[in-house]
Amino acid sequence: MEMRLNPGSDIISNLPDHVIETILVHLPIRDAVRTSVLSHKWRYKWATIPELVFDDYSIPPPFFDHNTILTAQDVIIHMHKLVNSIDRVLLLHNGLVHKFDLSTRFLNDSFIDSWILFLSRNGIKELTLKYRGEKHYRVPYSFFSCQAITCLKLLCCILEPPFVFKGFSHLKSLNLHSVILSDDVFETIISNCIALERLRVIELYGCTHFKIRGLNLQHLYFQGELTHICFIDAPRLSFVSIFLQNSLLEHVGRGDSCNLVQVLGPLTGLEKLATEGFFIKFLAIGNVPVRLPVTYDRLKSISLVMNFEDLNETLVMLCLLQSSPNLHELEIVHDDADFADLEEDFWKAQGQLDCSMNHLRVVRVSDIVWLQPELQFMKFVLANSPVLEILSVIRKSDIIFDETKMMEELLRFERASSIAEIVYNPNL
Amino acid sequence: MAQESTGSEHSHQVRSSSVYLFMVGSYLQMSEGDMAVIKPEAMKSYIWLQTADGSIQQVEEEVAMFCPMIRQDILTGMGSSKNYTISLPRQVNPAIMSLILDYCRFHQVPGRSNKERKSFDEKFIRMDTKRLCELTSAADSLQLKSLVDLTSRVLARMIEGRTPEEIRETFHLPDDLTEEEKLEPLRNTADDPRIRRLNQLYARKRKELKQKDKLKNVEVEEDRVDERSVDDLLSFINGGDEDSKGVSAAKHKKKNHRRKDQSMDSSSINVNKNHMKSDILSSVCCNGDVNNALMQSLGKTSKVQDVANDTFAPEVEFDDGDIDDELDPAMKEELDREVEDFARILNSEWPERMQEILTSGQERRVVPMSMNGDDSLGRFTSANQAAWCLSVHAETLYQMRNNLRSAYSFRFFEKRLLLRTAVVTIQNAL
Repeated sequence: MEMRLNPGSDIISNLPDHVIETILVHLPIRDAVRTSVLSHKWRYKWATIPELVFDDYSIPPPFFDHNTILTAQDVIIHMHKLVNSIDRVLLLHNGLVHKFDLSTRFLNDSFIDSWILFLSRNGIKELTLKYRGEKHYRVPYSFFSCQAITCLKLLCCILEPPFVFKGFSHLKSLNLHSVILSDDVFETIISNCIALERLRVIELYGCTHFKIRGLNLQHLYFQGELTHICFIDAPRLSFVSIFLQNSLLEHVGRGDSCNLVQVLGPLTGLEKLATEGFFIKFLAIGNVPVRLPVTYDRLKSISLVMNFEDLNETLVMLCLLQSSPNLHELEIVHDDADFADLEEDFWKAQGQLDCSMNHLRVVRVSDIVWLQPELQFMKFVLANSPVLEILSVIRKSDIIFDETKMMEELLRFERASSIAEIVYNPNL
Repeated sequence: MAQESTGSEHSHQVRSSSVYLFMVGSYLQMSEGDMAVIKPEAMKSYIWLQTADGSIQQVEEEVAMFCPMIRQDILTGMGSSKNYTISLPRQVNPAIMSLILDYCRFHQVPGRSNKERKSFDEKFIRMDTKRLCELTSAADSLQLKSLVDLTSRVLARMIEGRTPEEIRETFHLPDDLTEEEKLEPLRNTADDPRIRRLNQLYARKRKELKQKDKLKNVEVEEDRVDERSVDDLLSFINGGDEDSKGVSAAKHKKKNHRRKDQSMDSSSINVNKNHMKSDILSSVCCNGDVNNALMQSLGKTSKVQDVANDTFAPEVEFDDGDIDDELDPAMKEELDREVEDFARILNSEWPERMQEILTSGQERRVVPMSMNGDDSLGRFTSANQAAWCLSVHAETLYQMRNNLRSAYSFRFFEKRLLLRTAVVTIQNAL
């Protein structure tokens, strides 16, 4: 027990508590807890940190990353170590826990239940549960009483709230990945979480009808399968990105009108739209109009994954272009599907349209295979964009034929903009 | 004052490009607003700051505005002149102040890219640890959150992955926790397998120590018993009540009884055995008249005692050299034989016994051989009684031996009883 230097030369322990907490929060939890053996003053400095982040590296080595194949005994040992660590830390922790992060492949249901109960009593605000195991973890009822929660991320969980659940009134950001929940539960959560601003949903199971309602909702990312989606009362929704992964699609539009009108019609505040997978196909079901009944005045960026040889999809794309007078940025990725119903002279007919994209500055066309419709589209864009700055062309990487003829043709297209540049990326 | 404040308002309107024109000192007619000829110093507005040690410093206003705390003060009108300086918190000394101002001067420019800012930060934080901590403290007092965050990350990097010793070295922390405090209450955290192993070893060690303690108690008693001189043994035999005292007083006799020690300290006896021994012997001794008779007789015959001392000193030594801890079968047989002999001896008639004793010992220089001869009936009776007691207890001894399975204790008993017998013999002879 030697006092090496006089207390005056201790340069760090006298920093204010919140500064020390900031320092400790930047440490992995193991290192933070181990500061308790540094000196008398540091004994319990870690115990008030408001953020606790655990993962499979929070226990002493050896570590198993998510790719290692483990024996059953390894699993049990690792799980016990992790459970003990977390139990201990929670028990010794003193004060509110604002952020709790758990990401592991080894979970023991009953323990997490008790941890969630603990957190619900200690003012949890940001909760992340990422279970990378095989089963899904069913969240306990105490989870639904975490009223202060503002940010929630769940991976591989099952959400079955009690009947009395009235949503998280402070929830701002919700991220669900591989979560099992029913249509009703989803709707309850979305509509009752009135402060919700960001919604990120990836592969929900058990939920096919999505009714998105949110007065404060600004950002939506969806990936997965759905049969029905509608936006009710989402005036502030500005970012929508949907990656549709099921090919069996239904017509949800009223009467004859296409899905595009039905689904995206109400979103007048859109600023950025992105579609991937089969979503544009979904939007194209029905009678696609030339122009939408509404204009997206604020829509600045569109990103589509579409098949240039598909008539309906092309029509949808054109419809969007027509309805977005203030578009700045356009990105189209060609999806090489075995389906072609675009007539030869389609684009020639479009040439007659008065479609001036007066603000379009950047256009990116990717994964092209030098099809005629692709070239025709690029010709169309070049001819109708007076302020175009860059047309970036990225070809598909496995092309073997000679492209020089197509490239020359592209370079010869008439450009409405004097400063337009064509940038070619071979994507080797 | 008012003029100056107007001047500063204008300086906000006029962007930095215009300001630098005036740095040269030339006068230029401005077409914007109602700006007449304005002195260059007023174009670029300065704020006056005072550190805790009293030194005053001038700083460009936009740089100072980057600090929330200073900004508040500026907005309330302070810092505009030398007489109305903004006092900085005590954590800010002039050297640190200049560092902070460098930081603010770089970051307050809005046009910089994230990459630029990051690379500046990386270079900026290269300083010794002490200064870094001072900087953190100062930045916190000025509510400069981004700088606090930056320095905190750096300090965290210095802590992460290091051993406690290294961390203490870096930050000059005193090592003022006891070893136990260091281990608890996180001892059982599956934190360190080494700690767990250590605990297992500790537990095992503790157990062993406990056992050793028990043994030691026994051994100590045993040693104590061992180390008694013949006097003590005699008094032990003859004075039942003084048993315990006798036992405890005997430690210092170690030197004289080397041979005994060699033989005896390897056995393991526990306290219970001793208790049993003393119980039985005391019961033997306290068997009423016999005891008294013996004592009295002994009391008179102190001389005899001395003689007995000399006489029996060699007697006391059995060939204990070959006694060891465990009873091997050969030993067992020997002991069995001895017990049987012993019992037979005790149960036989006294006179025969005396004969045996008289004829057996070459070592015996029993002077009182001459004393053998006439037995008065009374004495014989008492001796008989004694013998009877002894014989009874021989059986008990036998049982005890079987229970205890200890060569030593048996030997000891044997010794004792033989001694007793001898005493009785002498008494009879008297």
